[in-house]
Amino acid sequence: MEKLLVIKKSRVIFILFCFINFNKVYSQNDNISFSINGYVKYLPSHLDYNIEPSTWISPTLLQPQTSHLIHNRLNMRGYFGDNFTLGFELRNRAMFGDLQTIQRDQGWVDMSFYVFEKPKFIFHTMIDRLWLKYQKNKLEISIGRQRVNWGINTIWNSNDLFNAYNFIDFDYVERPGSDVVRLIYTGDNLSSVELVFMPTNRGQNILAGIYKFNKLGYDFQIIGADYFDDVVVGGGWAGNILKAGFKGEISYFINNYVDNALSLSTSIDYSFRNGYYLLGSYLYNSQGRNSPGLLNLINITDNVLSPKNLMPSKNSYLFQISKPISPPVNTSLTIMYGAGINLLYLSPSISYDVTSRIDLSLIAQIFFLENNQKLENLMRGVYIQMKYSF
Amino acid sequence: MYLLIVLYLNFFVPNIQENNATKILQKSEQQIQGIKSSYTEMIISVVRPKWTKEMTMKGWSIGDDYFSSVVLTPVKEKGTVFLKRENEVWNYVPSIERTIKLPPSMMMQNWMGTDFTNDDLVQRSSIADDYSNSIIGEEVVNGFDCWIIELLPNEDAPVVWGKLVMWIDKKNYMQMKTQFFDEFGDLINVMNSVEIADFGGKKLPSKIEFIPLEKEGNKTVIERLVWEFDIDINPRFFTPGYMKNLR
Repeated sequence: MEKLLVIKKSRVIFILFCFINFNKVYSQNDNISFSINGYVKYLPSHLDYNIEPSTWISPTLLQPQTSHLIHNRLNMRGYFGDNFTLGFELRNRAMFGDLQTIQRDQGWVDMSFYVFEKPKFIFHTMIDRLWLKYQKNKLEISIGRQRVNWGINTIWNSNDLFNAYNFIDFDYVERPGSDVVRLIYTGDNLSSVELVFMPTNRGQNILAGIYKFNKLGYDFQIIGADYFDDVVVGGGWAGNILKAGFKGEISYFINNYVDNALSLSTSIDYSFRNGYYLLGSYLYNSQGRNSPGLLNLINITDNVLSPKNLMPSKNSYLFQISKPISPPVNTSLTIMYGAGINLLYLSPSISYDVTSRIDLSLIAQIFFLENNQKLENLMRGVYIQMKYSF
Repeated sequence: MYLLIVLYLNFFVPNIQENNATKILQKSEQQIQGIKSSYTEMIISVVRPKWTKEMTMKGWSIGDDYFSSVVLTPVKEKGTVFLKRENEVWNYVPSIERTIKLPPSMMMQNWMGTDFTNDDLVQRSSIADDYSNSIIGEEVVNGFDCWIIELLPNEDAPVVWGKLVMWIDKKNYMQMKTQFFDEFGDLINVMNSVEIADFGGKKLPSKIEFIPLEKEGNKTVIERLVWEFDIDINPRFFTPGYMKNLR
């Protein structure tokens, strides 16, 4: 209880601090406006393993874990006249119970810190957006921590160089931002050119560009990048075959030190009039493995992903079906299969739109993996998500 | 969002055939014909027997082919944008900061949980080519003296409906009521204009309700708070790259 009070107190102080600052600026000029919104989530979860400890997995890692996460997000915008916009977004997380590791801030500037760090309780704050944008006519320049989302395919985005997305992490759809300087020029006929420069602490800076255009009812994009040790060339498309959506991405990574790599993904989706939605997707990862092994499980559950290596398997397939069973209640089932490594992932979920502000969902994640020449259920997680939006 | 515009334009394209019904439809069309652009603010309520959802949104349009709208409330959907350019539709999802191109099959889905399909928003079925019309009676609807006009699809016309019946008021040429029949002659949907207001000197329905009759207790109500015509809108408002900026 004491811990909870501490959380509440520091959050209240922080929110108050934000409002005070907003009001102050707001009164200066009518042409300046601010907005704030966000959510608070409570996410209890239970993870259960069925793995024999071995020399490289310590038994303590394989104990069942029950943890409680209170996750708060604040999205703030400041609009200064017609041309300048400021974005500031924060992620506060209080976790108690069996704690899971919190990923370090990967950015150029470390904007995350622990308010509390105890064996059974942590409070972690991370600024994952902090950017200033100048926009005039066809030109847009922004600097700071922001999300550069280049994905065009529905699932598995090898063009998305700045925030490869692990779709099993449903609690962080916003993804961490990247510390970049970004320039966008909008041309005619839905074309645009975008250049992104990202300094990194790894000694190599990233320079990447994308050209987007629209032709024959398709959105197309071509990318090129000097990306860590690789030179990346690729592209993507979003269009349709008859009434079904048809999307895909290809990226080729040319490397001076190791083998070149190809990542290709494509998907087809279709919505039926009765509400059923179906999605089928395929991913080829030339660097993927073709043989079973426990390491594959670690690869997929690990949050750090590279667009070069979106799945541990060479050939992966995904199938998703969703259907609203009444206006506020939606159900879905995701099935993913990593061929060769023999990894099967099942995730059923049900969500309930309780009020205009409250959502409730129940999500399960079940992993089967070939181990000792048998397909075994090695890990399962159950999550409840209660979300209040404001 | 621009449902009313769409529905109006869809149903008031004049028939080549010169008759009284055609003239009425023409006059009715003139109510909003000549619109180069429009801006609207509206409340959409989705009513179900045990559940109601209310959304507020802003919408912009240029001509018939360019529409965009942004959700203001509920807060969890704030900043969600729909853009339509001719036959292509995009959806901007603020939480993931991504613009998603919607497949044509998505057009058959109910739009944001309402009783309208995405197709109702987008598709331009042509009344002029597809339906013939005739006056079949007169009736007072909601205090307005109306003509009743029947629209029957021409042979081989690629239309969804087997018959449409419209009530158009004699004074302001407003579409006060429309019945949608399927190919078997069964009444499927009813659209009623329940409130009238003055928008820039034009009398237009400010509140309409759309009732699917096969689902008891279901309806969608659209209430326009603001409706401006022929205003300057930057064409950028109708590009996928700009969707993130609409608010």
